[in-house]
Amino acid sequence: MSAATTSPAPRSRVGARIGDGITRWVGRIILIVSIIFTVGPGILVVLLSFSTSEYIQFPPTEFGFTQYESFFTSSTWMNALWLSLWIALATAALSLAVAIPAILAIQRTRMPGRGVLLGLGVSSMLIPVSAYAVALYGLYSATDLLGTHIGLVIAHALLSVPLVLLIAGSALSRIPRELDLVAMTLGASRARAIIGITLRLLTPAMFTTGILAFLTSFDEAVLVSFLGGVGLVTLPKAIFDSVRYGIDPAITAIAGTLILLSAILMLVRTLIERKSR
Amino acid sequence: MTTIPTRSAARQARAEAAASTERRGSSVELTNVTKRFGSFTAVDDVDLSIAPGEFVTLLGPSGSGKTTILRMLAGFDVPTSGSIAIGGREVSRMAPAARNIGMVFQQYALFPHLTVRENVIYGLRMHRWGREEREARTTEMLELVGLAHLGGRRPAELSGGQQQRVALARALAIRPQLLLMDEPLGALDRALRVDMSEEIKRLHRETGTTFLYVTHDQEEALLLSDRVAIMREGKIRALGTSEELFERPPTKFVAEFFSNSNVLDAAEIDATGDQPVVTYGGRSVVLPAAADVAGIAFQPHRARVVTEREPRPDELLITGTVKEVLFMGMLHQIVLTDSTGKRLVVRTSGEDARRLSTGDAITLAVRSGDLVPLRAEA
Repeated sequence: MSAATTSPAPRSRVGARIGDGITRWVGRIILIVSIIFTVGPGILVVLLSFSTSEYIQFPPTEFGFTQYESFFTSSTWMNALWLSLWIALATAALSLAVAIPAILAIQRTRMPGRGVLLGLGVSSMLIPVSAYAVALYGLYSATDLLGTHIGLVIAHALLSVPLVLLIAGSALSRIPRELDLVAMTLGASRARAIIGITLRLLTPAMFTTGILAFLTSFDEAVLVSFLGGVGLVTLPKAIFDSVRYGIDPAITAIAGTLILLSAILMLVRTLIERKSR
Repeated sequence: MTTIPTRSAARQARAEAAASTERRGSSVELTNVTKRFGSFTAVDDVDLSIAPGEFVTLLGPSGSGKTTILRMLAGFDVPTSGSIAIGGREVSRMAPAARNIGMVFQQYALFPHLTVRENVIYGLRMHRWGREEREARTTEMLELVGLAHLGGRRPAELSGGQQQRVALARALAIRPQLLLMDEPLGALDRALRVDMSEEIKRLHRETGTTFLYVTHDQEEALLLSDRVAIMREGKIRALGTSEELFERPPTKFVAEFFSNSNVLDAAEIDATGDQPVVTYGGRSVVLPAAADVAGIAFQPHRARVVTEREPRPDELLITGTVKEVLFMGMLHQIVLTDSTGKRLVVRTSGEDARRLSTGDAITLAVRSGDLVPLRAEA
């Protein structure tokens, strides 16, 4: 027995066991801290949004719908909300209209320079948004696009096109090419095979990327500050403006609404993906 | 038990009825077909002529150009030069949809969002069949491949063999003049491959369509086809019936790649007289008259292990060292190297093989009549 405990092999096994234990605990702590930091602020802001206080204070003393009332009855907030929704919808539509044909061309044709095209398409991810904003400001002031809806939509689409290219691209690479080819031997024209088979199978991915493009635009505050001029006040811009003069507790209600909206969109996306399987 | 003969009889009758109304398979004619991708020549000046209703296999290692020929016949690729005719009609620049062909891929390529029935119906809808004919034809095709009870399933819910049956039913539903198959058994396991081979043979017989089959598997080519075209480096190196090419391989490549034969590289051939004389290992035998003999080969089961009985004068002797003896059920496979180090494989049912083991010296005898003369490679 004593020989066994003093031999080096069992000792190293004990060491390994202690090491395993430490790793496991460190892992758990990292996990718990991560969860607190990701979910915590959301919970906090939702709690605050039901406070009736005129200032943001924690913990809330009284609960009610005051903040939601002032958000939904204020024309400033409502105009900003509608503008944001429209810009985000247009951004989603534009990014899909540009990126889906592009990824089909990149992956499914022998077009020369398609590797370069993909590289250029995703390159906007590498450029810091503020740098982009400055450059676009120069371009837009020269082309009279400053403060226009279409200008802002194009700028937002620049941010979301890479997302569509990458996510729809990975979905497309999982759809076998042979499906189109088989459809063509069965009498379908090339266009009909692509639309009826490949694009049909790509629908869930297009929906997912559409939602991501929508949220990217809906949440975007930097580009709009540079390019929106005085006329275009989206919701993030309105929040920044309001914070500049003092904190309106209504922004907690806005935050609560946005969290709910995103959650619904993600839920719809999950349901669609599950159904398509 | 009684339902089986009844069903197959019904199936037989239906197939005969279908065959009488069905358009027969078409001829296929490739003339000087070349396909280049950049500087790479995938198919190099190929001529191939297939009779209506024939079953031809393109057999070759990967990169030999067989799939490129199939893709050009389907219309997925356009030949760089040369002409392709199906049923006498020039098609080399025609869209796939206009060719009236069927296509079956190795990975089945079933539409995952459609049910089995909807998959089969797809082509009929594209060809604007009427609703009733469409439904009847789909039922008929699913019965033909024995899957009528699974019409409502999605492809993902089927086994590999079932999926390939659906792919066959879908391709044949539109009554194609030509069915193209690209390694259709490649994704299936061995037992299923044999079952599906039978199924494909039966479908060929019952539909009368011309079948062109691409594979790198020699066994499938032997099992299925009327004729085999053996390809290498973009060219058809040999074309003939399975039996011809297997029993009398014309060249060294065909002997080794298709007929499992042993090529005696060390044999010396004297073709100056009326009949070629082969000298190997100090003995000479006379071959039947043949022109242009560049080498000789023999099949694994044509060699005899020499024990007591003295070799006859018309036998060539091969001495070597046993590397491995494999028991294969009905016979033993002996792997050996001859005196020049060349690897040879023989199969024997004799008792003598049982006593051999790795490292033993071995003497084989092959009769001159079993030696196959080989031409020089083209």
